[in-house]
Amino acid sequence: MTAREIPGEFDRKVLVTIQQLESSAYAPGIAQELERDAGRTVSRGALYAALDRLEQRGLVRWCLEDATEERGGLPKRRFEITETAVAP
Amino acid sequence: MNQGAHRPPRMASALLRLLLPAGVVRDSILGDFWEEYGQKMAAGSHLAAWSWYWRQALGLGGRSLARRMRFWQTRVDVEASSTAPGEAPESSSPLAFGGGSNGSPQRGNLLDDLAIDLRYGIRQLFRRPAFTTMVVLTLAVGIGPNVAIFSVMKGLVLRSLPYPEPQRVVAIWQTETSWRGRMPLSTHAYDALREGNSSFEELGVYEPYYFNLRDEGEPVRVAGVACTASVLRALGMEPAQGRFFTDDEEVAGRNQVVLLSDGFWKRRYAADPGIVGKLVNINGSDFQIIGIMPESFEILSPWGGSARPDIHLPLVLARDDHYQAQHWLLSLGRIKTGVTARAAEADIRGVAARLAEESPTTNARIQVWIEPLLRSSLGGVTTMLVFLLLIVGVVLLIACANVASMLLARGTHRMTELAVRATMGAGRRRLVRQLLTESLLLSILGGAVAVLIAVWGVEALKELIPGRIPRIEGIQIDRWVLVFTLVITSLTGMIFGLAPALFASRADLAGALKEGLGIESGWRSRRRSLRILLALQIAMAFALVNASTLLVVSYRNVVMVPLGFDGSRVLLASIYTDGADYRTGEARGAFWKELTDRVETLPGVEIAAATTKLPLRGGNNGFVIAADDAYDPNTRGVLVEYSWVISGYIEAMGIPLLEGRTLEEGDLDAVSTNAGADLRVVVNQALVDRFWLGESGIGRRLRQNGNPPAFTATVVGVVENVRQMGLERPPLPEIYFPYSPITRRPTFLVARTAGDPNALIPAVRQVVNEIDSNLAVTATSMGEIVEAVTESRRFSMLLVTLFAGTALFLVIAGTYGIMSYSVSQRVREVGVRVALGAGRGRLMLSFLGNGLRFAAWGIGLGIIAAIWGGLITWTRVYEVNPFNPVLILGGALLMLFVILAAIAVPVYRASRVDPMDALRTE
Repeated sequence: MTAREIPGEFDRKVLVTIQQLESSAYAPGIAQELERDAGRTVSRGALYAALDRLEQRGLVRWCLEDATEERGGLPKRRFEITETAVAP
Repeated sequence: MNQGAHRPPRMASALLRLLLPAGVVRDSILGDFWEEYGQKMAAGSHLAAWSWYWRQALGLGGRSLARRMRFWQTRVDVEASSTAPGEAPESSSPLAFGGGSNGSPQRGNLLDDLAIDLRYGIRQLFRRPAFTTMVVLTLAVGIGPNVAIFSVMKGLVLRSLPYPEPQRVVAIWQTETSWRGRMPLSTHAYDALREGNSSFEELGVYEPYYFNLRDEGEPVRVAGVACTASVLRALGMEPAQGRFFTDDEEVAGRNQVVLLSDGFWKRRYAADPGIVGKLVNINGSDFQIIGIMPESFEILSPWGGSARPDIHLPLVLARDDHYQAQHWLLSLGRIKTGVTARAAEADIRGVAARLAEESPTTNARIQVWIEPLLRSSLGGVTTMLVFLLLIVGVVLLIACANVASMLLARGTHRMTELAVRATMGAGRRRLVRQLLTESLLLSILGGAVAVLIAVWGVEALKELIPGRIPRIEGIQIDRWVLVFTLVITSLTGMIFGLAPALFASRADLAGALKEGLGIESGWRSRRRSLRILLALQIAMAFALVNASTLLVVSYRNVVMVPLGFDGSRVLLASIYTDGADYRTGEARGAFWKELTDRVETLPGVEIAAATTKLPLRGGNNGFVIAADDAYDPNTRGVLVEYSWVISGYIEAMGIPLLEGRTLEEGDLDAVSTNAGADLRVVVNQALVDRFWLGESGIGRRLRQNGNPPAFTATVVGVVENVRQMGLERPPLPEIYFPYSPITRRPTFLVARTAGDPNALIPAVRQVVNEIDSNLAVTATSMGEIVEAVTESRRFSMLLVTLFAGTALFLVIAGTYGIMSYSVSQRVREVGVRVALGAGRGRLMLSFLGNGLRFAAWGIGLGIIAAIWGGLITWTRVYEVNPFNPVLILGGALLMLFVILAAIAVPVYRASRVDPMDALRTE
C-alpha cells in the first residue's frame, strides 16, 4: 500500500463524511455524522487517529478557525479534502 | 443557552492535556471535547455527558500514551542507526496509529512489545469481567493474609530496636542447666562480669517493676524500670530533655531521680515543657524528674508484656548476703566495636569460671551466655510468626494453582486466538511473554485488592494478638510491606502464569487452527494438567486442614488440663507495698494482716489471703535437696517453685489438700519472730513424688541447696499440683512458705467470693485506700488469668483454622469449576454415547470415577504433605501425636466428602445431557 491509497473502511467513511459536510467539517460534526450513519458511538480516539492518518497521506488538510466561547476559548480545526484524494 | 458555562470535568481534561503532545492540535481537540460536552449537557443528561467525557478522554489519552512510548523508542532507534538528517521516522505524529501494530508479527523491541502487551492484556481483562473478578478475588484471598502476617512480622521481628547499632546490644543470661536456660543474674555474678569482662563497652542490669506514683492527681500504678546508669549508656541514646542519671546516683539517698517516658510525659502531663526539675511522689518518697526519654526509647521485658515502662529510676543494689545469691537482675550490654558476639561470650564465660573457682558456695554451677536483645524480648513470638507465614504461604500456593487451572480451562478460545497470531508469525517466546504479561496484570490487580484485605486484616490482627506480645504499635502497612507485596505479587503472577503460558507455547497451535474451534486438540493434555493442579491443591489443603485439626485438638487438650485449683470466684488485687512507709518487714506484715482481715469482713467475701506468686504465672524458684542429703557444690538439686503465702491462701485459691494440714497463723509467727528458724511448709504432690515417691511427705525435711542453706523446712501438708508456668508445662515441685514480710516481693491479695469477683473490686479498692491512700491497686479475677494463658494458643488456632477454611473453599471452588468445565467439554461425547445406548448410571459412575481418581491422588499426596506438615506443627501441638493416623484418616474422609460435594452437581448435569441437544451443537 502506498501512502496515497485510502487505507481502511473507517478512514474511507471519514473521508466521505468530510466531503459531505463541506465547510462545516469539524471533528465533533464528523463524529456525530458518523454516529448517525453507523447507529452507535464512535470513539473519538479512533476518529482523531484516522484524521491524523489521512493527513499523513496527504488526503486531508486542515486550517484553524477562531476560538469561540462555547469551546472555552480554544482553537478549532476545519478539515477539507485535498486534490490528491479526489484525483490521485 | 450559554454552553460555555459547562466546564468539562477538570480531572479528565487535565489528564488529556497531560497525555496529548502540546500544540495547536491538542488545543483544538480539547476545544472539540469542550464543545461536545457542552452540547451533551445542554441535552439534559449530566451523568451521560460526564461519563462520555471520561470515556473518550481515557480512550484518546491511552492511545496517545501508547503511541508516544513507541514513538520515543523509534526515535531512539533511528538516532542510533544515524538516519540521514531530516529523515523522520514514519508516522512521526504521536497520535497516529499505524495499522497492524496490534499483535502483528513486527519485530518490535521490548518496550514496544510491552506497551502492546499491556494494552492488549488490559483489554482482555475487561472483555471477561466475571472471569477477571474471580481470578483477582482468588489471588487477593491468597496474597492478603501473606501481606498481613508479613506486616506483623515486620513490625515485631524485622524492625530493629531503636538504638544505634542494635546488633551490638545483647542480653546476658545465667544458666545452671546444660541448655541455654534464661535465668537472671545474681548481684554476685553481675559484679564479677562487670569488673572482669574486656569485651563490653557497657554492661548493666535492670528490673521491670511497678511503682505507686502520686502527683497532683489520683495515685496510679505505673510500669517502670529500675536500671543502672550503664544500661542507659549501653543502649546508646540521648535524653530528649534533661539528662540521664549517673553511676553516682545508684546509691540509696542519692537515687531519688526519675526519667519519664515520652508517652507518659505527654499522657499524664500534657507534654508540659517545664516538667523537668519538678517532684513526683513514687512509693511514698519524693523523686525529682531529671529528664524525658526520646520517643522511640523502649526497654522490652523478656518476660513478655506490651507495657512500655513509663518511668526509669536508678537501681540501687543491696549488697547484703541475703540478696547476693538471688537471681533477679536482667542484664544487657553493648559489645565493643570489632568484638564478635562469640568472642564476647567466651570472655564472660571465662569470668564466670573464675567466679565459680573463687566462691564455690554460691557460684559453683554458674554458666553465662548471651543472646541478641530483640530475640530475648520476643521469646516464642518469632517461631509463631514463621509458622503462620508458612501456613499462609501454602494458602497462596493453593490460590496460584487455582488461578492456573482457571487460566488453563479458559485456554480453549485463547488457543484459537494464539494459533492465529502464531500463523501470522508471532514467535513462541513472544506468545509466552504476552500470556505472562496478562498473568502479571491479574496478579497486580489481585495484589492491590490484597493490600486492602491486609489493611483490614492488620487491624483485626492487632485486636486479636495476645496482649503479652510487645511492640504491637509498630505493626503497620508501610513501604517495606508494600515492596514485599510487589515481590510476592510478581512471583505469584509468574508461578500461576507459567504453566498456562508454557502449555500454550508447546501446544499444537497449527492443529488448533486447522480444527477451527481448537476444542479437541490439546484438550486431553490440558485436562491432564488441570487435574494435576487439582490434585496439588487437594494435597496442600489437606495438609492445612490437618494442621488446623491438630491445633484445635491441642487447644481442647490445653483447656481441659486440670488446673489444680478452683479459680472461679477468686478476686485478685496486686498492691505494691514499696517505698518509705514499708521499709521494714513489720510494716509490710502489719499492712497485709490488716488488709486481709478487713477484706474478709466485706460482705460477699468468704476467705481473704495473700501470695507472692499466682498460679500459671510462675517464675520464682530455687534448687532444693532433701535435708538428709549431704551438700555438694557440684550438684544442682531439684528445681522447686517457691510461693510465700498468708494462711488461708490454699483455701482461698481452692487447692485441694491431700495430706496433713494447711498453713496456720502460728507458722507465720515463727517466721516473723525468728528469721533463721526451721520453717513449716506445705508442698505439692509433685515434690513428694520427686523426693519420696510412694511415701508420705508429712514430717519430711528439705533444705535449700546452698551452704549455709537459705532455709530448712519441715513438711506439714501436701496439696494438689497447681500448674505454675501456664497450662502446658507439667507442674514442678512447689513449696508454699508462710508469708515472710522480710522478703520484698510483689504480693497479691487473693479473696474467694460468694458471687462475681469483679463486683467486689470497688469495695477492695476502698479498703486499701482507707489503710493507705498512696497505694495503687490493680484488680482482676483468676478467671481472666486462666483465659489469658490460653490466648496465644487460641490466636494461632483461630488463624490457622481460618486459613485452612479458606484453602478448603478455594479447593471446592476449583474442583467445581474444573469438573463443570470438563463436563461441558465432553457434552458432545456424552451425547453420542447416550445415543449409542449407554446407561445414564454408568455414565455418571464414569465421570465420578474420573473425578475421584484425581481426588485420590490429591489425598494420597496430601497424606505425605500432612506428615511433612506434622513435622512443622510438632512444636505447636499439645498432647496430640501430629502423625495420629485417626486424625489423618479423618482429614482424608473430610477431603473426600468435600470433593464429592463439589463434583456432584457437574456429574449429575452430565448424566442429564439430552443426546439430541448435544448432537445438534455439532
